[in-house]
Amino acid sequence: MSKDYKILQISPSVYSLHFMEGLKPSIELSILELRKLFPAGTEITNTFNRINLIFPNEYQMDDVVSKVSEIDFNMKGAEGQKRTWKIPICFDSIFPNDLVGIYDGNPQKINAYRAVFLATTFRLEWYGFLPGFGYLSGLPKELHLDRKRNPSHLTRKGTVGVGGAQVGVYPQDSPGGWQNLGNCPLPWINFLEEPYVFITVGDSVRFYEVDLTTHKKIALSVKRGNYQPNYEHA
Amino acid sequence: MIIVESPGYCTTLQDKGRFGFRHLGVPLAGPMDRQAFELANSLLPHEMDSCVFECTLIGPRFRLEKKVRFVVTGAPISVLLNGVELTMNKVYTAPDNSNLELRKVLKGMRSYLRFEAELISPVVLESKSFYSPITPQKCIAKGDIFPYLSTSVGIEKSNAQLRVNDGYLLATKLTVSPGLDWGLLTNEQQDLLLSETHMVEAQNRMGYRLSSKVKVNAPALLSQLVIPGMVQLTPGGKLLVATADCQVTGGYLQVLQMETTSLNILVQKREGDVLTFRNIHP
Repeated sequence: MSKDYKILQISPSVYSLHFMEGLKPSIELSILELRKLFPAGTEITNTFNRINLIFPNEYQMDDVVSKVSEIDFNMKGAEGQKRTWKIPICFDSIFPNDLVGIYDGNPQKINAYRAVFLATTFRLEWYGFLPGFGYLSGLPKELHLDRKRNPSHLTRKGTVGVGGAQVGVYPQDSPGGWQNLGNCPLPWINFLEEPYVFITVGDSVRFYEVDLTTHKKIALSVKRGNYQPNYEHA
Repeated sequence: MIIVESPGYCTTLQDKGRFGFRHLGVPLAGPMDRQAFELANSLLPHEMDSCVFECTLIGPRFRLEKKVRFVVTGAPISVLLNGVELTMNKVYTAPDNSNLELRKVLKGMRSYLRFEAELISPVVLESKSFYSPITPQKCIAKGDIFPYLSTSVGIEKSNAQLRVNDGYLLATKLTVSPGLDWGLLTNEQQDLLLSETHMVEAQNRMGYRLSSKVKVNAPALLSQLVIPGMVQLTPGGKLLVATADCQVTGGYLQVLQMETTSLNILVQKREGDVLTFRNIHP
């Protein structure tokens, strides 16, 4: 059988498993298997097509190769209960809306974009870029938006953005090159107690529209520490 | 306790960093110059705490209420304890009610001040390393107070100084090896990158931006893991070397990976300094 992945060495202590196009392993199951094979303290992260192994100290390529070869990446298995998270988004005009520029202010086109967006079920692929910035896949092709030619100096915390085929919510104020759709009052990460994130890799996300009053209400109850994100079992 | 009378220019508290949270997008943080950090910790070990104050160009002025031992490592900086000038890499004892002042970095970029104590500062995601907004503060501020505990007076080390190797502060050759996207460059681009002189154009704790004459028409790449020491090439022909606070993922060409010892050399360079690369796997 030909191997459907490559092992790449980034540094003496960091390796990536690069999955060839066509192979769609369950990243979540693969990570569980990898955790069993490598010492505690090994950081395991992923992107769309790679799983990364970050060892606390130098680690031999041969050992990585032989351990990883024990895994069948085509495995099917109980993936555990998946959840579909209901995430609020507010389109109020107090929040920057780049659809206005993209569609010349045409309200039908903007509303049509939003309708498809709200009807889409996204999948959380991984966290990167900023603490708690989750990359969502699943955006229909007609909704893909090119990144800004010149990134904006300041994208506000909570901004829901589209970069090409990807969707994400800015967890903090930051420069940003994605197109802004609206604002989410719900932080995706907290740094104080486990679980630090409520949406895990492989979970689904559906956005639902809230008005500004509800946005403020949610933001306030988040601040008071008594907001529970809603989900359904997928 | 330590009372901050003057914060210096972005002085931060750093322990080893935040291992184990990069899958949440959380940067590693920790000291920029790990060699100076390790030296400070081996001169003044403390089982409860590896924290150092990382000082950048201009150091802080502290009032120290209780007797405590300390040491300064990394870039040479003028250090005054109650008005008396001290030397680098040597352990001193500050008596009760001392004034400790670190002035200007004389050569290099970052100096490290370590106390033999457990410093009280918020532990967030298992680390005290400053990184806003994970920790409340980006840098220390005037009026900040850091209580400290359990000064260990256990092992009185001999006065013999540790052999300090700080030649790296003057080095200008950085050792690199090919990164994952090295093969996307032409031979001419590869040769140019390794033979040209790079100037430090800008820097902060996230990374160093270096000049280059290499221009690429890079294909759009998927974002991938970025680690400290990774050298990325932007479409605009700039080299970005990721350092302690770097984002955990990025989408530029990953052309080179810098050795950790060379990364310690780099983070002691200032804007305008020049350096060259040496490829260990030609």
